[in-house]
Amino acid sequence: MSLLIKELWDLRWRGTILLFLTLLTGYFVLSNYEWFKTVADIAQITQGLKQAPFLNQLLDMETLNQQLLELFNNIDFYVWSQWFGKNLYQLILLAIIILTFPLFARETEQNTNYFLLSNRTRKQIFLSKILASFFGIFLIIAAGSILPVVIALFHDFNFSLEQALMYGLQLSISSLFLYSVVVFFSITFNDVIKPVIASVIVFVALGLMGKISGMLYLNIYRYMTGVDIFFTSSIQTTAMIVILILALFILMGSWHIFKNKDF
Amino acid sequence: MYAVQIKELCKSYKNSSFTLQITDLSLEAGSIFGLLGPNGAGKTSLLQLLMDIVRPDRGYIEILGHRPFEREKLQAKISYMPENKNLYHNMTVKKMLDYASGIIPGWDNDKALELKNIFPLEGKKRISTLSYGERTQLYAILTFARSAELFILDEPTRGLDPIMQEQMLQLIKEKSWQGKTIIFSSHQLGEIEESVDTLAMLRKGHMVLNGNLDDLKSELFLLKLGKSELSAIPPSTLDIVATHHQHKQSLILCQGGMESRQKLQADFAFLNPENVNIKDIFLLLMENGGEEE
Repeated sequence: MSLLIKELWDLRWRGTILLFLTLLTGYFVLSNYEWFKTVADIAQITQGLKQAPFLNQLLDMETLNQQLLELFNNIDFYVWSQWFGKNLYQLILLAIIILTFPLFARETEQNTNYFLLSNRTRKQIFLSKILASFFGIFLIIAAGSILPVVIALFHDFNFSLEQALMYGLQLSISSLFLYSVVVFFSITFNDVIKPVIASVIVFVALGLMGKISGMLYLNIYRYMTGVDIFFTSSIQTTAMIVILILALFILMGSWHIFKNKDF
Repeated sequence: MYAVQIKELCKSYKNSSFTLQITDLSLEAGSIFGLLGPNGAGKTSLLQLLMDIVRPDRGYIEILGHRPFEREKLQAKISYMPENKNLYHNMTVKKMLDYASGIIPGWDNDKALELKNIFPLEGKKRISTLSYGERTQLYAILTFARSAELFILDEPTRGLDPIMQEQMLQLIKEKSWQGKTIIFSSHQLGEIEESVDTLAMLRKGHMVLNGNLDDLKSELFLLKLGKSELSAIPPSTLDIVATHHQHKQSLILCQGGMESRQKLQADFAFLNPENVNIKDIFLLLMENGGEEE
């Protein structure tokens, strides 16, 4: 059993449960599209929107009603709003924390790192750990992104593979950024609780910062929900390059700390 | 040829007043080197510095011709048994050995089987259910079932019953007969005396004694003196290494070979220089403080 296989073996239960949870949630969300349409009360929604004076200035109620009906009958809107934009990215956030927080911290907490450090180089340990855990996260992202295309084969709707792949790529890059943050905490702290707490704080802070006017670009969740792909049918290339560079920068910083750390 | 050379080494820790300082230490290749000292003396720190598990503040360490951080060149040459013998709790003994065979460089399956007969552990048993002694036995298999030139063992017999302790010492001697270098720390003065060629004693991060065991024994002697006898000897007559004053008697560890002892006896007939063992040296140096390098 190599170092990489052992790391994957360590992730087997957590990874399998998260993958199963993703597929199960995806199946229920996506295969119940027809049912969703029947329970969505357009009249009630329209009545609620009438209370928004801003909307009333832009659209008359009839147009709003018509556009709402179009949206509800559009599977793409349903997939982007209910699956990619809601359940999947939240499951990925959960997966990033669960698959990553104990990566280095548990070895330190349980003193098993002496065994690793005396038999393998720090570079080998670092690489095998981050490759294994990100592979686990990537697998869940890939499954969740492709799922609408697969489920469409068994139902009366179509979903573009190209869009699914674009979303998968954007979600992977955005997740790599959050993943690098959790890796950093897992290396920095010597127990398994602090990386979880610190990661949750950062995840919440990133969401809050994105709500500040003029700082929307900092909202990583905007990219994770893929809302821009839905409207423009293209990836946010510049943002993805910046996020990728930031993620690699944090990972390199984590490596630097791990390389010089006293255990 | 030296297996390990240390010069002007210094290591301190955050949030701790402890500092390990070793001016000069060289270990002959092929020898068994014992490291003695009370808890917190710096034995584990020194071994961890050799293994690059912790990094020095300053100083020079050379191990088998390389610096400790050159792990790629050293990982197949050094086998390490840490003080803390924790392994993966969720693995069984069999799974752990399977994993070890994949990641330990120079793993020898035949040797592992041979060692499993010496340290009989149930393969299906989870590591979380093993006692400290059983974990030490498992670690012994992981440590010795491989080819290495240097074996660094941090308290290898701790937690073992006397039979297993004997097996462990036998393994250490076997490796030494094969020309391997062994460094081991222990609180068991008897096993150190029985096994080592050279030794060092650490106290509060400083090396208070270092040398070949036989040389140390022949160069040091012990005097047990009453108060009146002690006052009868001019202080400059003795080359005192350490003293320990009890209620009615003083124990004095002195430096000097056979000639010095004979001369002392000729000058002061009431003196009876006694041979020392490691226990005497250790207790006197550790209780008294000893000279620090």
